[in-house]
Amino acid sequence: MKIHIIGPEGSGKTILTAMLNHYIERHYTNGFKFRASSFNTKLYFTEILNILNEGEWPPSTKQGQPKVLNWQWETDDGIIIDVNMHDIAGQDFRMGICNEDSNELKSDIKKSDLIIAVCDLFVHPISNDVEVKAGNAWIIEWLFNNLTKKQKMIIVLTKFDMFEYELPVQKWHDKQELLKLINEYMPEFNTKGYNLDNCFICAVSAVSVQTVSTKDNKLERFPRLPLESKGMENLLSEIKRIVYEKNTSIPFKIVRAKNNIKTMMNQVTEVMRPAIEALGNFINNLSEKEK
Amino acid sequence: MDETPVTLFYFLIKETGDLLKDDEIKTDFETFNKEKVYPLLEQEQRAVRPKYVLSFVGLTNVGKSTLITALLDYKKIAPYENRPTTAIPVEYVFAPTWKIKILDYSFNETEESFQKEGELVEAVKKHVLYADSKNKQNTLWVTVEGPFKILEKGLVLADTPGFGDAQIDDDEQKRKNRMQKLEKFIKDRVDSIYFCVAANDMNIRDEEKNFYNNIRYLCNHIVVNKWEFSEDNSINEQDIYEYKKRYSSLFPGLEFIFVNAKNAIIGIKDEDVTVLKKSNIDYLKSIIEKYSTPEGRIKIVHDALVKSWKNFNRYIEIRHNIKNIPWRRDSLKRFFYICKRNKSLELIARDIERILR
Repeated sequence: MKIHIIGPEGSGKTILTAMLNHYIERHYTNGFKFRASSFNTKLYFTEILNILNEGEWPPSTKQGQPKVLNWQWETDDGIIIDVNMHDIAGQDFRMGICNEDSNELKSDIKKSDLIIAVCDLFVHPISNDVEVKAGNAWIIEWLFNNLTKKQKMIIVLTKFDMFEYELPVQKWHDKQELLKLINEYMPEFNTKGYNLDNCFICAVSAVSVQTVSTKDNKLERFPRLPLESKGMENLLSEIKRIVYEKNTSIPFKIVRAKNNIKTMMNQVTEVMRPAIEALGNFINNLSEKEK
Repeated sequence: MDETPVTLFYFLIKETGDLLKDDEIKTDFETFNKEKVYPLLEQEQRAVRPKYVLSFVGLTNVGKSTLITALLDYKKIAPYENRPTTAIPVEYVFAPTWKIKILDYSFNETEESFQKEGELVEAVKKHVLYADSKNKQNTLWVTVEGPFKILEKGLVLADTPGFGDAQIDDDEQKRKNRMQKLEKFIKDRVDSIYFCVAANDMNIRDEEKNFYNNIRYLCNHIVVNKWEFSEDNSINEQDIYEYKKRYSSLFPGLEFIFVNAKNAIIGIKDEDVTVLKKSNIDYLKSIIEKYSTPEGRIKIVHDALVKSWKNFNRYIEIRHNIKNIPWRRDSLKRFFYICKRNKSLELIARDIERILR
């Protein structure tokens, strides 16, 4: 099982993955284990967490200094999931995708069973707004156009504490509500033009922010300490669901979704359906044989 | 700090400004944030403090101490004959009994309790007004406690040393040091300022202006003391109009309150209503009353925010001929939702609702 995490610059991939792995490490009961494949990956995440813990934002990745991060998640049942993410600056990233020759980034995407596309509706005004917004839309469109039918996709909307007024945390996995917000704030991506059935959308806030007044009497947003994340359970449970779907030989365990029992039940029924149907067929067969 | 209506208004202006292409409008957005919204934020942050310190600041001899005495309703005090000046900050706090606490530079606190109001007044005079220079040097801070009616809800009044050349023992360096000390003291301990001027000072001095500029973010009111009210007890409209016209450019956007503290003290002492009326002290009290609870103070900040919102829209419309500011949509919505939750910001919420439509 392979997962690839992709997203334009400034969308919050780095912070999301650092906090997600931190979350997995802290919540032993969630059924996942984190294992860094290389020392560099472990070091990188530790550095990011240290910076966040000091109440600062980690610097964005510089052009010409791409970083490939590899790590593994292991479920309680021993399924190993390889995760990789290319942490590269926007320009390099677009070059990587547009390049006709096959390259590492493209082949990583091709080989993956699940793509997690990270994008953010709260585009920070300091960045070049138009460029980032177009970048967000373009990557999702590119993925929709290039993914095979077997590949699954999760769209993760980051920095979502900025939209908590519009959509409370309990609804951060509600596809219809999230699509409404995408239509409103990212009109560059036309949701109606694509088949979204195979794709799950969820919103997370990897790091809650707080307002801080700086020395020169200005206001800025910085990480709120102690660090806290919101909506991570939704993302994790969806990843787990897809992982178990791929590995049908191992029965799926109940998903731990804190906020909404309804979703949980839906997920359970969805997973159980093939098994129930199989059982039904089996019984039918038996009764036929008896006859 | 958490998100508040003022921080979200700040971010709305900042984030919208960042997206604008016209540099001139951009600068206007930035200036407005710096000059108007940030000061409001300072006031908002302070408004929720359980101990809220309201202070009278001004040049020496504009009558700050007299004003405070009048506000506190001291019964047994005469106007100060030979105009001594306050050299030590004094804080007035509500308590059921009369007490004075003196903090010196070695952080030792001495406490004295009194049975009667009169005894306390004498002690204050001894420690603060007529303290000899040695005592003055040693005393850092004086707290006066008593059943002051105006402070019942938790408000604290602070009397600060005046600044300016009327203070004794002055050379240039010493004065500068003292000003800096005073400024730091105000910024650290005071939550709201009533800036006092004397009506008979026809010129507002540079020193006064400079000092005012450094602390104006905490200031909403100018108290014009020693105002001569006309004989028939009515406030002389023409004079007030003239005065406001002359000085409103110096103190833009502030409310002027005209009082005569001396009349107030005489009126309280002699229980003479005619004299008391000539002091206008009840009006000042009614304004201070609004500051006495956190809810009241937040309401004041919110009212100012509504005013800022309206003024900003109008300003941009007139100056740049932009009828509809291209607000950043998500920032505007964040601001909208927080306004909707506060009844005192209803007007803004209604405006934004119209824009969003």
